[in-house]
Amino acid sequence: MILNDKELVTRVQAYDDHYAFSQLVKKYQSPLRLFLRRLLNGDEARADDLAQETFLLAYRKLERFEGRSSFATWLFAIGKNQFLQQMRKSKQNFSWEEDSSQEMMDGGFEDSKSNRMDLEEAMKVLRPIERAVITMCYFEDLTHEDVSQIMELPLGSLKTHIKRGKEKLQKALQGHQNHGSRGVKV
Amino acid sequence: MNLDDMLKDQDKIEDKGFSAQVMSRIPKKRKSKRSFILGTCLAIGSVTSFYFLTDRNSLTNLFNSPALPFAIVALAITICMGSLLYVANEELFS
Repeated sequence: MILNDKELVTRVQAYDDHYAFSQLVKKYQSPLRLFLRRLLNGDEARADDLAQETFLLAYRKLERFEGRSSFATWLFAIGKNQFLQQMRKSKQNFSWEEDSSQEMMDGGFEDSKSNRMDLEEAMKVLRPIERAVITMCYFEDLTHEDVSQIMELPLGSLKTHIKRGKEKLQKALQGHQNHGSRGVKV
Repeated sequence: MNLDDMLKDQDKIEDKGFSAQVMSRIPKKRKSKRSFILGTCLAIGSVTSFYFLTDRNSLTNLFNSPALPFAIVALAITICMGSLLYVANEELFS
């Protein structure tokens, strides 16, 4: 029997059901880890540590989860806050709006073997806010409203960040194409 | 490939033991005290009702069956004590 998120959450809350929680971890480990990896510029080890901490905190807080938002929205909000906390610890002047340290390169990415790798490289030219919203908006379980709630942004600003981010991505990926690799249709 | 398609087709990160690692760090399951509480209450209720009702013929006569008052009083005591302890357990162990 496949239970939905709401039912799994109820089972964890009512019976402290570890199996139900493990189903939630299995379902969301990939999107959450990808989200954190992109925010951390591809640092897989740090992203995975942070994802683990996020799940553990979610488990501890789950009893107080009232279901006003979806579980995915709530989990990503915890993940984002965990990321911010770590940023504050390690780098006090972090800002979502800060420009990437990686310049927009005209095809200057390392030669990648697949479009996906190209995309991951291209992501690095985006500002953290753009990386965050674009990554989340393309997950099946999150709507634009959910993402605006997670990032505490008005819907209009969210759409602007998505638009700008996608423009930068297209430009970066086209630059890559001009350099002799596969490209992207605009 | 279209950018939207590329973004929709985002990388799936293989679990590779990640979920198991998370679950191994989760605190052990809280021991449910429910069955213990209900069992204890039932035992206390049974002993109490047996003690009070065995030599009280007047009470026994109120009911057609001699087992009925015993059962009713045992149940009442069990429900009262069980409810109180259940609420206390939820408060203490949540």
